[in-house]
Amino acid sequence: MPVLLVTSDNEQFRVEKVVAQRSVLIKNMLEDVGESDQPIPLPNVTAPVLKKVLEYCDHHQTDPLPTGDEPSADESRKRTTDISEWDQKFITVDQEMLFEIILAANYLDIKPLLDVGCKTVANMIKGKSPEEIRKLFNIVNDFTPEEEAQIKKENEWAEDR
Amino acid sequence: MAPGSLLQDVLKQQLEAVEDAQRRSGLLSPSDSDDETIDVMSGTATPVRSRNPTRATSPTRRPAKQSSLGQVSSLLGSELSARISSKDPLRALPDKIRPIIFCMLSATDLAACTLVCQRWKKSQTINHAWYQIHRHETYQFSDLPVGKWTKRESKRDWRTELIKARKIREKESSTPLNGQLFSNSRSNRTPARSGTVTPDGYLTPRELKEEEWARQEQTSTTPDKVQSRAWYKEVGGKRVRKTKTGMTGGMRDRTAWSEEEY
Repeated sequence: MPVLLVTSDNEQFRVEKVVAQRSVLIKNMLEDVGESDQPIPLPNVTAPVLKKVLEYCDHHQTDPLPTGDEPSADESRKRTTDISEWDQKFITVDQEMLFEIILAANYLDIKPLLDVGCKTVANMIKGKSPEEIRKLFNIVNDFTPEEEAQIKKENEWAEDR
Repeated sequence: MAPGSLLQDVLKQQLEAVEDAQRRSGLLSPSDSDDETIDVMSGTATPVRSRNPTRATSPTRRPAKQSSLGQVSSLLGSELSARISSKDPLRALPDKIRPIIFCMLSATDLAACTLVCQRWKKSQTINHAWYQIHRHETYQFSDLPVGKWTKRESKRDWRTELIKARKIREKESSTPLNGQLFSNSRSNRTPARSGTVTPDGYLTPRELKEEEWARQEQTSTTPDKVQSRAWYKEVGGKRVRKTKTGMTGGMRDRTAWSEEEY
């Protein structure tokens, strides 16, 4: 039975239950409500973002659902930031959309998608110089040259050996 | 069919989101200090769920819920768009997500992040990432439990702590004349601590001290009278604070905990 999702901009999406249930939030809601044709309001998600998210859910609809014990932020250090080919292609969007997808994945509780999004942001930062990071995120350098020199000097000790 | 519980869930979500958004919008003010809080103790993206069917099926409360639902959503829209307008991940992303991203970065990447701007340098998210690196270097366990991030940890600058610890290890591991200051560092790292860490990875100050004492007893072979005398003569009768093999046992791990006494 398909599920009706309603976005913040009042667009309706009719999706298969198995696809919608990639979202733990929606899955729990459906379990609570039981069989119902009541539309599910998603006030935190806009139509373009939900469309993208559903594309992900559709492609991954047969994946096993993540177990309860998700690795924490710290354990993620050990994990590589590898992203599968399909996911990589899927997540190649502009930065605003990337952040929106991350926020939606967080709200809808779609752990693997949140993971892909976070890895993508980490990959954007990796290997970049401070100036490149500033450019990437539109940040202004507000250090004095002295401060900058000082931190650079300290950082000789902080970098990877 | 009363979707009361559904509404309640949605409402809860929204209230949470609004609170979050309000907090963020407050932080977006020019008063600068952006991400003072990070949420790393709770699991990733686990929304609060209400599974209480008795509350959910109460029909009298439905109209009130519905009206507040509308108000909440309209408020939420503007807050969300304000948040999203920033391209800076430390501004645009919430507490739960920022640490996930920055803990994926290496020390070199974090060093670059420190140089981006004042706000990034002061960022608690990045400080937390340094903290985890510092932990991994101090206790070289492969299955190191996650470090607790409490107010106490958040008050320290872990980049500085890491630098301090590395400098001290360097001093210990290199003799003054060999000039191999940098190449030595990896092989001569402080070995993993002998004791155990509690399951949640937290060591009380007392446990730390006990560890240290136990190790001192093991490692420092107390020199006998004759040896001590000879050594005193050698250093000119003056007790100097000099790194000497066999005398450093107790110094090592203490560095990681700095001079703070608990």
